[in-house]
Amino acid sequence: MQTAFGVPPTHHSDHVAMTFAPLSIEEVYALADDPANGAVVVMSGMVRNQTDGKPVVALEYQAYEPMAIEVFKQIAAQIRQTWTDVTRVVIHHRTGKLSIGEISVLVAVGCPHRSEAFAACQYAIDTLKHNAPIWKKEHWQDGSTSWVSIGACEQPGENC
Amino acid sequence: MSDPTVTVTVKLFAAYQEAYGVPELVLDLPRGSAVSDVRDRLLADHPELEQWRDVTRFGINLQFVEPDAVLQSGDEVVLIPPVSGG
Repeated sequence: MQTAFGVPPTHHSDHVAMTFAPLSIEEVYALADDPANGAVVVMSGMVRNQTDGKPVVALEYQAYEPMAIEVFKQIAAQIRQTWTDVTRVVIHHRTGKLSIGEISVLVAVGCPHRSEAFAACQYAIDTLKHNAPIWKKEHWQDGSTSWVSIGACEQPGENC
Repeated sequence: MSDPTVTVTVKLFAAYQEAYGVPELVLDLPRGSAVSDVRDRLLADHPELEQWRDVTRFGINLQFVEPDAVLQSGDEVVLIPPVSGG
């Protein structure tokens, strides 16, 4: 369990998943739905057709799935400590080879008010990108491939 | 007399997995070894991984740990090169 870092158990209404199958915005939205909500913010991340102007044809996601799930649970738990009005936290991430436009990640947060929902959703996706043990390899149009390093994503002006 | 070594499973991803061509290794290390000693052994075997030395983070049994965390027999270790999920 999470006791080593003092993280409480997953809230019963939160939902986290790593999946090889395509992600569903409808499913994630439904999981975030709650009568106490005044707002649901959904963050959808998908495969972009270029990196720094260089054409990309696909992204291949690899994950250490059991640890990624633990990180997602810790993100949800931290959200509940920071924004106590949050009703639902949903984090779904895909693995495998995805083509342009396919959704790689969905985060949904339900709250009584929009400002907390926006803040918590941004915290979730930013923390996921920095900490979840997930890697992506860019498949370039010229047939070559390379693992993405978030070090590059932290340079000013980068937009990963 | 206690066993002078510990046996751990090391999960490999991204550049580490490509260097070894397998998703995991089982390693014996001297009792008292730190998780960073796993990285050092892999870099000694595959010097092309040297570029990842200072940016690799460590996990034991699904939790992030500091480089000096001491290994126990049966631990599942992961070397975490820079992540890029999302």
